[in-house]
Amino acid sequence: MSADRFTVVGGGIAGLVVARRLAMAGRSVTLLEASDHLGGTVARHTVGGIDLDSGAESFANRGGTVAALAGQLGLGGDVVAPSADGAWLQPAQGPAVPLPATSLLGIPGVPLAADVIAVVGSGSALRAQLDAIIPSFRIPAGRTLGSLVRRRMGRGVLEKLVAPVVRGVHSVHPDEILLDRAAPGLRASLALHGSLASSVRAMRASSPAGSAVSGIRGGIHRLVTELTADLVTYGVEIELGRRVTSSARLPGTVVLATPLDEPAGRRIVLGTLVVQAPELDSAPRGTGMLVAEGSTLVQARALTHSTAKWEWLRERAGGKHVLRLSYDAEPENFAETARRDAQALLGVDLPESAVLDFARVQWLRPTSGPSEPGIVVGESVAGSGLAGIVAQADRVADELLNGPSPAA
Amino acid sequence: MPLPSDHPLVDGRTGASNLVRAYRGDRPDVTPVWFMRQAGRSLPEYRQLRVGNEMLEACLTPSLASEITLQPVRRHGVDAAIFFSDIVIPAKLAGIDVEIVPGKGPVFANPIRTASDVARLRPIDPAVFAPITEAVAMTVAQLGSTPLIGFAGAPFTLASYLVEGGPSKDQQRARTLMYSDPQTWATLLNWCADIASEFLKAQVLAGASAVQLFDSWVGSLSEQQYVRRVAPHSKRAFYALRGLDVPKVHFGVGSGEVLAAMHGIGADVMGVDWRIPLDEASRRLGEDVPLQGNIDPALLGAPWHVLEAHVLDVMQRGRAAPSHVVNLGHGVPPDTDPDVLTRIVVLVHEH
Repeated sequence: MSADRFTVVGGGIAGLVVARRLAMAGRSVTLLEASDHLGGTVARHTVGGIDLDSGAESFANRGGTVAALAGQLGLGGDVVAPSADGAWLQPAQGPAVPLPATSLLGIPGVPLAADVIAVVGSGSALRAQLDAIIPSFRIPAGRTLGSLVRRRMGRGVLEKLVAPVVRGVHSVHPDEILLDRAAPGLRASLALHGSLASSVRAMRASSPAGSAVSGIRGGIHRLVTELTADLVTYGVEIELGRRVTSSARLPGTVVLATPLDEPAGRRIVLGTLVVQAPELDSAPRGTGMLVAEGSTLVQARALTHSTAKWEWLRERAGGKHVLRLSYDAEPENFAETARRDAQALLGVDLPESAVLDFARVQWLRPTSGPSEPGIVVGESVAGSGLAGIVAQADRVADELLNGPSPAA
Repeated sequence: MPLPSDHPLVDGRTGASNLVRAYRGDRPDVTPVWFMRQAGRSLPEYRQLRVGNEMLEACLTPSLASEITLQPVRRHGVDAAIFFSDIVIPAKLAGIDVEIVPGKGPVFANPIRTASDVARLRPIDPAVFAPITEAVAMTVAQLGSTPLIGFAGAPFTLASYLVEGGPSKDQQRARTLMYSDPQTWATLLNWCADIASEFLKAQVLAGASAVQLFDSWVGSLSEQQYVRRVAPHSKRAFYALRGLDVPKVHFGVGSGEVLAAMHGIGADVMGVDWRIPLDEASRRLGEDVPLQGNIDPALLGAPWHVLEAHVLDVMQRGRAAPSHVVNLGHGVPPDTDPDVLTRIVVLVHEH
């Protein structure tokens, strides 16, 4: 027996996914969103005349969840893989190096591969190779990714490879993120294969088309456009500009898709440059760069060369280049800092005259923690990343419609 | 909301009619027949009545709409009256500036093409349907045991007119909006669904014993487009009639690709155009859906023995369905000899 009437608080992706599922099943749904737009951090902005994702610009292929959603939304034919060129790493000291080809969150699948040694040095690579002979052990729940990698592969791989990648993806150090949240499936793979390296190789081999992520031609924000259209189609009452501080008086079953209290979380700051720089046509740093902590070269902690990463965007940009840099806090003279950081990271000359436009975006990423009582979806319970958020929202919608699943 | 106690389906006038029985899946001894667009241009008495009356004005003048609706029932002895109206009538009653230009069709002064155009559309006040209610009531009072079928254009076809500003070859502007601004599209189709369902509701409450939703232009859509961008809105139009227990007929031109999906919106009976034979249509629908159709209108001008053979073939193939109401595969062409229609009615009733 399930309820007929629902109020979904929060119009980010999780809220939209749940509201859509409920409405399509014939339930009466009201969606309350505090801001003036739906989609949360999945949104569009126009920089240098080019429509771009202002937030998420790719999603993990894990589980096929987001691709399946895109398919239902009529976007199945527009799911695209990024360029096969990998990303690069800017170590704390020394020149930029390509990230190892076979890796997961920076964890190498072949610790003694030349591209691993080039990043961590032969000493750290040899230490990481011990992973193959360290007996497998049961990993207690609550174990962080950092402690697992340190134990099996050593501090060198952890700090020089895994930490920059995890920081780029999850905005935290590996010691600050639970194994199961950072790398879902790794625990199970480890139980099966024994060593971390072989687990990584097995997981990479099973991910579709070699790439761990995909994008959508035209931008991830098209998901929001289509989800919103479905909400309208299936009669969801959408109220924008409705900030909710208590779920007590809301009608029907309440689904929380946003924290009710003032969001306390990590600040995400993005600067997007659109530049005219033919030297970037050759994608000198592949799809982009991650910056290891302690680097004094730049303030940015990552750079995405969007027009190198996405073929559809390169076509659309008509010779211009799109560079997206992320920061832990907004730097002074943001546009100028971003230009100089891009120049240093990419190793090409980017004079002020090459910059056609600049845009800044920032938002707070909710921290996970003791969650609100009741039915909760979204980043605060599912972690960051669309794959996890969509999968969890789908599960919650299933349970609301069909009762708790026996598997859960 | 139940039907009123004096409704013809409730008080016994039309519940046992051959049309209503066939629509409900029963096979009466005599196969019922009526013709889409039977009221109107092909009849001399209609053309005489329309002299000096603008088309949409005629639709909104109860005595005229009623008389025009009744003319073909008297002349041909068909098994149903179809309410004389136009697909754009609910839009006009909602305040949209539209007129019918002879030889061209409906023309809208201000096409609805942008998000702000759509945002200006207001919900319709059911009170604006007073002339419809009056015309239906007058008609039903004279029809006795012959059922009246209510009429409305489906959201996609109506929206296409609004976006294009009039008739168009392939609804390209409308189909572009579907992709360029899906949210605006959905909002517009919901509005169209709501005015269509209010239009149908007014006719049913005033005495219509069945309804037919026309999605004339559905043939310009792929199945994927139809299922995702159109079907939910057509479903909304029928869903708004829940509780009103009248048979619901759904018809589209060029609907072969989407026949099953069209049935899935909540239709009881599927109208089939002339492009696929009824036995094939029945197969596509799982062989348990009553069918209506599908004499090729092009054959109305053919020698009688050719037309006769075609009508008998249609009836034979219609046996594949649980029940069958004979109709054309599209509307009566204006230059049709009305005597041919009368002759078809006699033929169908004799077989």
